[in-house]
This record gives sequence, structure tokens and C-alpha cells, in this order.
Amino acid sequence: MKSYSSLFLYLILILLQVGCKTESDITVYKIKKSRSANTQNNNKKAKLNWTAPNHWIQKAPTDFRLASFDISTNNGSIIDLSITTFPGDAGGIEQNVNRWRRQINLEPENINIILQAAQKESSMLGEYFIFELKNEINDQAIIAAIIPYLDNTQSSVLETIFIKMNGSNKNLQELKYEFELFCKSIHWQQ
Amino acid sequence: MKYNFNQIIKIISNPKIFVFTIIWLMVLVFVGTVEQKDIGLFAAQNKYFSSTIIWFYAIPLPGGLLTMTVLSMNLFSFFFKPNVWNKNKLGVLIVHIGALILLIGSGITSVFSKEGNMIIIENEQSNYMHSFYYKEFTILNLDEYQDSIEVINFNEKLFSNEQILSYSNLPFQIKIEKYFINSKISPRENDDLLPLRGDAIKFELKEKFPEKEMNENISGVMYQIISEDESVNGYYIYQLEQKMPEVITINNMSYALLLRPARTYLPFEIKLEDFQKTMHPGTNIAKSFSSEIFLVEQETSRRILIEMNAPLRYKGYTLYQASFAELQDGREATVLAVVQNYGRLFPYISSIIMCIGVLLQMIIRIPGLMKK
Repeated sequence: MKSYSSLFLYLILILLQVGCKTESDITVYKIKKSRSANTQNNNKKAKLNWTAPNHWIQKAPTDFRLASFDISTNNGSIIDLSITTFPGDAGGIEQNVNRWRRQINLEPENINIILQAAQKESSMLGEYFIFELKNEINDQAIIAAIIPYLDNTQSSVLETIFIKMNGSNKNLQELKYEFELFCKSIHWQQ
Repeated sequence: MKYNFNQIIKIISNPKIFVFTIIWLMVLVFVGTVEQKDIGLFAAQNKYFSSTIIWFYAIPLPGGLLTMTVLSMNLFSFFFKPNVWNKNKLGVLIVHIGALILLIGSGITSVFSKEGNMIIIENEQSNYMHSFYYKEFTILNLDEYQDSIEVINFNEKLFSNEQILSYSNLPFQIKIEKYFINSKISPRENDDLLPLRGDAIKFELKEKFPEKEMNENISGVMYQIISEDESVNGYYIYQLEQKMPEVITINNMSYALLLRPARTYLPFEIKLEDFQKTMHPGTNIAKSFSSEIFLVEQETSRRILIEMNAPLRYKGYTLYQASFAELQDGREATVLAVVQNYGRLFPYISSIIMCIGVLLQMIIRIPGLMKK
């Protein structure tokens, strides 16, 4: 009888142990890096991908633009957003920001002032800047991001990604948060 | 009062326990099914079937888990009753074995089964599924290894307020300040936590009442990073739909932090070659979907068609055609429901065994009936 009792208890314990077994609360594993920084630029299959808000309407790409979006604002205006990429640094921050400043009739500034006013962000592609330019006289504004894609040594720019939208300052301020999230979402995909 | 083994077995194996537990399970199934309409499938399962105690106002009632445990013990203890191991009760014994196998199968399913979905865009491939219900806080150690990324996942069970998440290989700790099952993001009004970092500088997460269906909730987390590097220490937010992670750099090593639906990796990859849908004429209602896929494993692949009533079964996983999505750029994506259920065959096996037991018991009793 004693052996029956032991067997019974043993089986009940096994049942309870199985019933209480749960997965570990922390799991650790490794995944292969899909691509290194050096191969990204050379691999023609790789492409930029992103996550855009549902109400952004993507337009067909053109020769000069990797992608474009039409974005409706609360007052019914349509804002155009463009994504372009160029090899290397494409002239650098100062040259590109001053070109945009001229587009909305602002005077050029030197690089120190431009960087002081810039907003530094980071994403899977690394660190980048968002620039807010506005001309209060003619109510024109540009919000743009310049994302340099660096090589493994972080010493030279392989490619530069430009994301830009222009319109009235009020409309752009309404879309700024979505723009920031959109820039953060841009990543390479095989 | 002292009980011996036989007395205990007599109490536990009392057939009345079996009858009452079966009736109570039927009540739970009925009430759970009715309430599922209001609280959703996942909540109803947790409340009625996966729980030990159900609180009806201040009255504790046995939940499905407790009821099934009592039922299992009742059936199991039958084998220890005196005088049951004889040929006249062989059929009854076999029926009990069949019923126990059914309960063991349900236990295995509840503990080990996994379900989720795979979303694959045309011409792309995937080797993991997302959980329908559970989330995980993930840290990607991006730079420590040359050819690989270390992925550290903290289970949703650890997301209680003030909980510290740490791992030996990480030079920082995460303190969960608040976890929101459903959340909304809004401009920051409250600056009492400092320093704020990342999106938390301008925005804050607010609690939203959870949706009926778990997969409609947009979970969010406010967390604090604690490290020796003051430039990254502070409070951060992350919302599920944000999708792209917060990236921090400590000692020239980058780490990406994100909240995401819990992932389960499969031992094979699925590449979506083509997605087809047929609509009911003159409507936007889909009549049927099918996905032409390549099952890729160890550099070999084979072409398979998954249709609405023709799932793919492979290596213990069943992949059903569940839904589809159309992307803004015109591409299509298939949604495959993936189920891994080790207990899938138990109901069939137990049903066959119970049928054999009932038949055998009838045959055993025929001579006795004939004499009467």
C-alpha cells in the first residue's frame, strides 16, 4: 500500500509540474545581421523601407524621387512630401539647407547657426538632423530631414537620404510629429 | 481523524465529483461563450477557462483550470481503487484512460501551444509569427557581434510597474514605469519626470480603455533607463504602432529598444510568391484568398499553394490563409494564421479509445444480460 501511495503522489506531482510549467520570462537569441553597412550600398536588391501613417497617400516614384506622398491636413490642404537619395554627402548640410532657405526667400546662414537650430534624432540608420525653416512674412515653411548613411568606420557618408515637406507653417506644424515618426521608421530592407 | 490511502482514493474517485465537475464545466462553457460577446475571446478564455478562481461579486467559484484539475484527479484516482483491475471492468478502465488522455491533451495544448500570424508582402519572406495577444520588450544588441544581433526579449509578465528588467550582457537596466494595455499618444502636459528623452520630451502616453479584441489594443510603455552614462539615463516612451525602435548608444555600442508583439521563430521560412483574391461579383467582399508560397528550408525550397480550406501542415505547424492587406504602394500582403499545437491529435486518439472501451464493456456484459 505504501508503494501505491508513493506512486500516486509522484504522478500527481508530475501532473502539477507539467501544469505549472511556463516559458522563461527572458529569452535570448542571435539573428544574423541581414547586411553590413558596406554591403548595403553595393547590394542592388536592398531598398529603403518605411512606415507611413494610413492617411498619407503614396504617389508613384519618379526619376528624381524615391517616393512621394500627398498628405491631407485638417483644413483640406494637401502637403507634398518627398524622399530622395543621393550618393555621398550630396553637398553637405550647409549647402542643402541654404538651398531650401532660398526656396522660401530666407537668407542663407552659416553651418553653426543651422546646426544650433536643428533637431538631432536617431534611428536604425544612425543619427540625423531635422530642420525647420519658416518665413513668417510669406507664411512659407519647410520641414526636412537629412539622414547620412555612414560606412562601418563612421568616417565617410555612403549615401544621404533627404525627406522634405513644404507648405504653410500651420499645416507643417500639424504634421510635424508624424514626420518625425516617419523619419524614424526609415530603414534598409533586403 | 486519520484516513488511510484507500479512504482517500474513495473520496477523490467519487463518481459524484465527476458528475458535478462535468456539469460545472458545461455552465462555464455556456457563460464564457455568452460573455465572450461583450469582453472578447481572449478575456473570456482567461476569465472562465484558464483561471483557478472566478470571483462572482465576493463569492469565489472554481475556474476552468481548477475544475479540470479536480476532474483529472478524480479520473486518475479511479485506477487506484481496489478491485477495478479485473476483466469485468476492462471497458470502464479503457474509457477512463481515454478521458484522461483527452484531459492531458487539453493540458498540453494550454501550456505548449502557440498561435499567431505571419504577415508577408509579395516577393518577401518571413520566418516568424507574431502573437495575437502577448507583447515583449525587446532589446537589440546591435554592435557587440560582427555578424549577428543579439536579441533579448522580456516577457509581458514582467511589465508590472517599477519592475526592473536586466540582463547580464547589458550595460544598463530598464525600469518599467507604466505599461498600458491600450494607450494613446498626446502632447506632453506633465513634466514631473526628468530627464525626459526621445519622444517622451514632447509626448506622453495616456491610458485608454482596453478594446474587446486584444489585437486591437495599441499597447505602450513608459520606461526609465538606468546606466552609468548620464547622457542616456532618463524616461522614454514607446507605443506599439511606432514600430521603429529607440536607439541608445553606451560605450560606443548601440542598442535598439522596442515593444512588439511577441515573436516565435519557425524552423523554416515562407516566401510569398503571389497572393490571389477572388471577389464576389459586383462587391468588395472577398470570396476566396490563396497564397502561392515557397517553403524555404536549408537552401531548398518548394512551391505550395495555401488556400482558405487547404492549410499547410509542416513540422507541427499549421498555416491557414486568414486574411490579406493592401499596402499604400499597391503591393499585396498575405496574413497567415499559424498554430503550433502538440495536443492536436489527442482528441482523436482519446475518442477512439473511449469508443473501444464502451464497445468492450458492452461485449463483456452481453453474456450476463443473455443469462437474465
